[in-house]
Amino acid sequence: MKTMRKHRINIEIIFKLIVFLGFSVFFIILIKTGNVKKYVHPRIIPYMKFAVAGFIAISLFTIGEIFRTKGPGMNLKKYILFLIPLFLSFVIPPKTAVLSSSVIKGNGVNGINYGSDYKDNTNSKSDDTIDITADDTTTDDDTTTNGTNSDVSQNNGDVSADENNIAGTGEDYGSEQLKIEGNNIIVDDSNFAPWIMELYYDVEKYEGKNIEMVGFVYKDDESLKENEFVVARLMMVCCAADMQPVGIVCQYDKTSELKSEEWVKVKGILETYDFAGEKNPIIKVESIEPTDKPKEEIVYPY
Amino acid sequence: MVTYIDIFTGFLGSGKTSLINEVLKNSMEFNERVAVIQRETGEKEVDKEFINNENVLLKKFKKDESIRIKDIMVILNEFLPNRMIIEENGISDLRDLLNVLDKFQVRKHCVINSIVNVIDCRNFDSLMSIVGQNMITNILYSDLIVLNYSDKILLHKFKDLKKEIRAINKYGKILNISTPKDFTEYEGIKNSRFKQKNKKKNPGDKLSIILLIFAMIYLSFTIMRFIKSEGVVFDISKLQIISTIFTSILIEAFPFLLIGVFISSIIQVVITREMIIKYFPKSKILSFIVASLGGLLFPVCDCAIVPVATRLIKKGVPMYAAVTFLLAAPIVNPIVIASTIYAFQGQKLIVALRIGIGIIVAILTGIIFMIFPEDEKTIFTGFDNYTCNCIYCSGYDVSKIGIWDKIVIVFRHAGEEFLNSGRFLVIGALIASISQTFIPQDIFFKSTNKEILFILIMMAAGFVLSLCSSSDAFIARSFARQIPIVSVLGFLVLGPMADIKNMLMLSGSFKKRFIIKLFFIVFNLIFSILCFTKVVFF
Repeated sequence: MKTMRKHRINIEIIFKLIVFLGFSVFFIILIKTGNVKKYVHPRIIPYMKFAVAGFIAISLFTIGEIFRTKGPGMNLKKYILFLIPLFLSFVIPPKTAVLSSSVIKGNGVNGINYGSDYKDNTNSKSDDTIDITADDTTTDDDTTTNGTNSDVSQNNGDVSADENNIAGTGEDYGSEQLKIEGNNIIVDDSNFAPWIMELYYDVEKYEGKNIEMVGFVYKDDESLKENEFVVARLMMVCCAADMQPVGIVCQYDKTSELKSEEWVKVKGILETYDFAGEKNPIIKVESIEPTDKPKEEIVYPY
Repeated sequence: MVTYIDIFTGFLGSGKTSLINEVLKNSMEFNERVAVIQRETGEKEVDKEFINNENVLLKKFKKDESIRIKDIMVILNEFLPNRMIIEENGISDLRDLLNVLDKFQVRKHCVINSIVNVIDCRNFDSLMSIVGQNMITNILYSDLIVLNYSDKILLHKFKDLKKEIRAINKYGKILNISTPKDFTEYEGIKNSRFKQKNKKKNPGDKLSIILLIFAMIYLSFTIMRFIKSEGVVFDISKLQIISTIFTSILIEAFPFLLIGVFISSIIQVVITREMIIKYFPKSKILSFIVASLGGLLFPVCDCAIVPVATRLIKKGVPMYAAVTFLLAAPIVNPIVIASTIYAFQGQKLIVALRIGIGIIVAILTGIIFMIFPEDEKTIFTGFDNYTCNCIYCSGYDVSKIGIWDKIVIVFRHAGEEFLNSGRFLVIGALIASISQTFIPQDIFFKSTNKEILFILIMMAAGFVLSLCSSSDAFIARSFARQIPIVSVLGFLVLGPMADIKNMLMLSGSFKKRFIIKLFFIVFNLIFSILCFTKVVFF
C-alpha cells in the first residue's frame, strides 16, 4: 500500500480505465468484425452498444481522478479477474463449427431433435394433459382459419389447401419465410430455423415432397445407422452457451464416403420415420454435392 | 527533491505523538530533515531532543485552524524537508487534508507516503458511537491502522475490534502494539527514501510477474497454433469451448449488469432513507404487492436486480419486501415475460404458471423473512449497512450537493459497483462455462423416468447453468420436448431466482448464512409448489 502511494499517478484508476476501455474496445471490435455473432445472438448487439456508451461515460468521469493520491489501498486481484476474459478472448479465437463438434459429441444427439415442439410430447401423452392440448388446439385452429381466409382473399382461391396450411402454421412461429417452389422445399440461410421447426412440428404435411438443403455433414455412430448422417447447422438461441447442431437425418448409401463436417448441398425426398412414438422427418438422398461454407455459419431462430 | 508525507490521525490520547517520536528517532539516524505539523496537542509532546535538533521543524496549528496550501508551501520552500509528518486530530475529516495535499502545487514536491490511523483499543467502541461517520472515513483512507494498547482489552474483544476494522478497510495493514515502543520494531516506519532504495521488492514486481505470465501464456498459445498447422495434433478445443462460452455469457450479462448498477447508483445518490421511510407503503399487503410487481419497472435480467435489491435494503426498504423484489423481479419483468411468451407460443399456461409460481414463491419467501426476521445489522459483510462503503460516497450528505456533483458521483459509483459485483459475475460465468463443457447435457434427460426426480434435476440445471433470465425461456423450450413440462417450470422459475451467478453476486454484500437460508427456502418452496402444480394441472 505504502509503495502504491509513491506513484504520482493513481495506479488503481489506471487499472479501472484499462478494464472499462478494454471492454469497450473489445465490444466495438466484435461488432465491427462481425465476430460478435459467434458469441451471442445478434439481438444482443444494441445492448452491447449501450454497454460501450456506459463504459466510456464511466471512464470519462473516472479519468479526472487519475492524479489523486487516494483510495484506501487497492486490490489488484479484482482488476486482474476482469482482464482474464479480455485476455482469453484475445488469445483464443471463438470456436468454429469444427470445434463445436466436440460439443455435439459431449451432448449426444439431443440437438438434432431440437426444434420440434413440446406439443408432440403432450399429445402423445395420455389424457392428463387436457388443459394444454385444449388450449393449443383452439389457437391452432384460429391461426389456420385466419391464414386460410387471408390467403384465399388475396389469391382468389388459386392456391392448394396444402399451402394454406403452411401459411397458417408459418405464422404460428412468427415467420413467413417457409419457401415452397412447386413440389420443392428449399431450405436456405434465411429460413433454416423456421423450416426445421416446422418439419419437426408437423412433418406429415410435407411427406413426399422434394427437399433441398445446405448444411454440414454430422455423423454419430451411437445414434445413427451406418447409412445415415445429419445435414446440420449450428443454431444459437441466445449465446454460445446454448449453441447446438440441428438438422434432419439423411439416408444415403455412400455415407461412408462423406467427410464429417464437410459442407454439402443435399437434394432428396422428405419421408418420415417413427421415433419414440412420434413421426420425425428423414431425407432419402437423391443427390449430394459439396458446397462452400455459407457466410453465416450459425443460424439464429426467433 | 521529493518530500514524503506521513499523516497520523487518531483521537486524543491514542498515542499518535508517541508514535511520531519513534518515527523521528528513526529519521534522525538517517539525518533526514523532518517537518512536523501538529493540529492537536495532547498530554504528550514531541520530545525535547528533537525540537532542539536543527533538522526538525515543529509547527503547531490550533484545533479549529485548518491547514492551507500556503502553510504547506511555506514549509516546503523554506525548510526543504525530506519528510513531513502531519498529525491530524481524529475528529476532522481526513479528506479535507487530502484535498489540500492533492493540489498540483503540493503534488509537484510531495508524495503521500502513508496514512496511519492510531486507535486506542480501550475506547474504540464508545468513540465509534459518538463520532461514527468521520471515524469510518478516516479508517477507510488509512494504509496502516495501529491498534494501540491491544493487550489492555480482552482477547475476544480485540478480535471483534479487528474484524470491525477489517470490514471498513479491506486492504490496509493492521498492526497491534501494546506500547508505542513496539512501533519501532515495525519495518514500515523505516520506510524513508533511504530504506526504499535497499528494498528488494519494488512496487512493479507483482505487476510485472503477472504481465510475464500473461505474455508466456500468449506465447505458448501462438506456438501451439503453429505446431497445429504443422500437422501435429494438439487438442485445445475444450479450452476453446470454455473460453467461448465464458466470454459469451459475459458479453450477454455485462450490459444488463451495467443497467443494474446505474439504477443502484441513482438510488444511492438521489433517494434518501427518509424518503423510503416516508413513501414506502406502510401496509404490509401493499408493500408485498409493490415488491412483487416492482420488476415491471425494471426491464432487466437477474444480474441487474441483485445490486438494485441490495441497495434498496441499505436504503431502508424492509427486508421482507426487498427479498420479495429480489426474487420476483427477474421473472415479473417485461423482457422476461415477452421472451417467455415468444418461446412458448400458444402455450399460455406455461407463461402464466411461470409468472404465477414466481410471484407466489417470492411473496411466500418474503413472508417467511417477515415472520422470522434477520437482523439487518448482521447480514451484510460490510461494516455500515447504511452507507455505501465505497470511497465515493462515504460521508457526504446527498441533500447538500449540487446536481453536477451528483451526476459525477452516479457515474463513478456505478463504475465502482460494476467492478465489485462484476467480479462475482466473472467467477460465476467461469464456473458455469466449465461445468457446461464437462457435464454432458444428456445427464439432464436420460438419467431417470421419474417425474419428481426430473423436477429436481431441472432445478439443479437452472442453478448450475446460470442463464440470463431474459433468455432462459428459449433454452427451456429446447428441453421441453424431452422432459415433462412441470420440470421445465422448475428450470424456468428457479433459474432466475437462485443460480450460481446470483449466489456469488449476493455474497459480495451478504453473509453466507443469509444466502444459504434464502436459497434453502426458495428451493423448498419451488419444489413443493411444483409437486402441487403437477397434481392440479397436469
